[in-house]
Amino acid sequence: MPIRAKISGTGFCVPDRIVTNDDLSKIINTNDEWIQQRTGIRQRHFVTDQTNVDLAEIAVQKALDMAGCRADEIDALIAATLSPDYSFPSNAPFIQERLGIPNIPSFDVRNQCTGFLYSLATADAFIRSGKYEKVLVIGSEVHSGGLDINDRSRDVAVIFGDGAGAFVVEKTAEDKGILAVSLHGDGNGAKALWTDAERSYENPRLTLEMLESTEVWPKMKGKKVFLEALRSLPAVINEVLDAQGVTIKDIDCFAFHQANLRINQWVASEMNIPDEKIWNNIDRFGNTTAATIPIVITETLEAGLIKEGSLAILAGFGSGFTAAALLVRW
Amino acid sequence: MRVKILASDSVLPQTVMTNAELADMLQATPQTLDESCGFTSRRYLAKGDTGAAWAAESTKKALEILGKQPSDLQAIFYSTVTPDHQFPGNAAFTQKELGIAQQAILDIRACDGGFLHTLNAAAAFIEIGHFDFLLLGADDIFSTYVRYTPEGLGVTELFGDGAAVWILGPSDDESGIVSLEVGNDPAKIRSFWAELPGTVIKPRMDAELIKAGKWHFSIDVDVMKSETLRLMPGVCRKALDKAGVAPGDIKLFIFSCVKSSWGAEVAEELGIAPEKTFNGHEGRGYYGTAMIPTCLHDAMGSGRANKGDLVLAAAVGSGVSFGAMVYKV
Repeated sequence: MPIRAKISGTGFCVPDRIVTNDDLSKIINTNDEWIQQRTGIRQRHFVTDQTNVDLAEIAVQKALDMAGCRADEIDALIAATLSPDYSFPSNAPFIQERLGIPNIPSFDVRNQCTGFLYSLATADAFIRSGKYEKVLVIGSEVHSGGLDINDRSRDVAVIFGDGAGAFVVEKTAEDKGILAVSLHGDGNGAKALWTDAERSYENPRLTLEMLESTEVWPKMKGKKVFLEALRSLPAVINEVLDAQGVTIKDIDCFAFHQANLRINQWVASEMNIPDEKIWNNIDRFGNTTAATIPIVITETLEAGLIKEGSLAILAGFGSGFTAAALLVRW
Repeated sequence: MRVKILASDSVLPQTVMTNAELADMLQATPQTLDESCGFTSRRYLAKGDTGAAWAAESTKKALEILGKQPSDLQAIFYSTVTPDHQFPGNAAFTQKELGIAQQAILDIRACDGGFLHTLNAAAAFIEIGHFDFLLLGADDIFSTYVRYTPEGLGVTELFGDGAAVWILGPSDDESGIVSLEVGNDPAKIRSFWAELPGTVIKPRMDAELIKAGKWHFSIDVDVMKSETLRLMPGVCRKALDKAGVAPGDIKLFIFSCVKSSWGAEVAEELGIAPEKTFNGHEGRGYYGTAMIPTCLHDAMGSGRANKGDLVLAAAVGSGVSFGAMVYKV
């Protein structure tokens, strides 16, 4: 039996504070119906005094508990985020500091919406190449302080929420774990969902003009992103299905990135995926970017949609553009 | 199966900033700066340059050596702590500059040790057979991060800009990565960092932060020196042991750390003769994650590292990230 990487523990954390669409409509010109119709979002969680690393630490502890693993057994740590606590160093060594596990390799993956999936694929490569045996993969975001919550940025401001999720990924000789990986990107869409400034190639790299022109806040060309998601998601899903010679009917659960409920519904319809095999939670959490997939997976495990032996597809698309899918046997 | 450099290229930024010019801004004498950094000039980007544009230009040159096209690449892995934009990362923009699509693009941040961390990830994907023709890009642009006022004295003069690319694939002979060790020790994590902008402050960005220049990084040079001297010899010995080679077998020692004199001290501790060290700081300054790929490319191009030679490359920087590699040319 070949060496594989299995997911032995999962966990997530969202802050206590719930911000409903009605709450947002008191600050910006929007309303519950407008947001739900376009995105499927009813509410999101925003931090009050917690940081990105605070959320990550809680999610990690839950994942370690499920895996029955101590932090000091971890060989490597990968942290996906686009909203780190500090400019640099990365979030990863700050999480490492909290966990009290010095000297292991740790780094951030900055791949936005597919950051967790790219990180999971990297953990798989580390384990299958024999470099490491137990890898922590974390996706965590605190978007609430990084949004322009303002009428001019309404389309972006209503989408995002704060949260964190984590997996313990470990070596196994059993017939389970990550079976296939598909990773793609298209930088020609880099400016369709991005934050332009600060810009390292300008001196000074950060100016009041950049703030006034709103270049320091995330921007999205919604239609372009939506259409590219509809093209890319089926492509990466088909790639991992073909790699293992299985079909949609063989899959027990689809864990999609929670960017927009309408994207996931369209993909499901186009690929003939029954509703009961899909777990969406964007209505409760919004888009937590790198944290969506581990939050979805943790909930599907708790709900029994994924059980021992289940086949699941984890898939996402987003800023970069990047697209990724993994086929996993539990 | 080893992972090897199939082709490489490095960028020499076009703006020369001498100690004499910098001394005026920092209100110091050129001699003070000469003593502080051990070199008399560093290289900065010129107007119109970007990290991704550099990487794309270098990639085209490296591909030409191999008779390949950008579309032959299967993946772009990228290491920088100073991306062109807040997000997405430089892998996406390099792909855009190359006019290609569909490749996997992965942006890794592990600060100054980031190149070896990113190489470690890239090598894993090649070792499992997922990719066999992969671009690894790296750049750091520090010239827009430092202070050109007297407050910057002691730090500004140490830094420069740089970029390099390696095209990686499986080796068909003995050449390639013999051993590669990486890690992070966050004990002194706040001794070399840029606290803001970050999400610990809400809102993440405001006028006060910008006016006060809180986005400049800070470094405790003494602490980073002691961390370099503590961590670099240890990780080098680990890589040498894993490769089954002695320091005496090493033909060239490449080091990436804030000051070249620290690398020289590490070489002495390891018993590597001064003539076997490669000083990548001379005329360039310290350019972080781009140092190792630049120095090895330049060493191979100038005859300092030849077919069959064993090269030891090591890095210590912000994080505190560290790593060492034994590479057989």
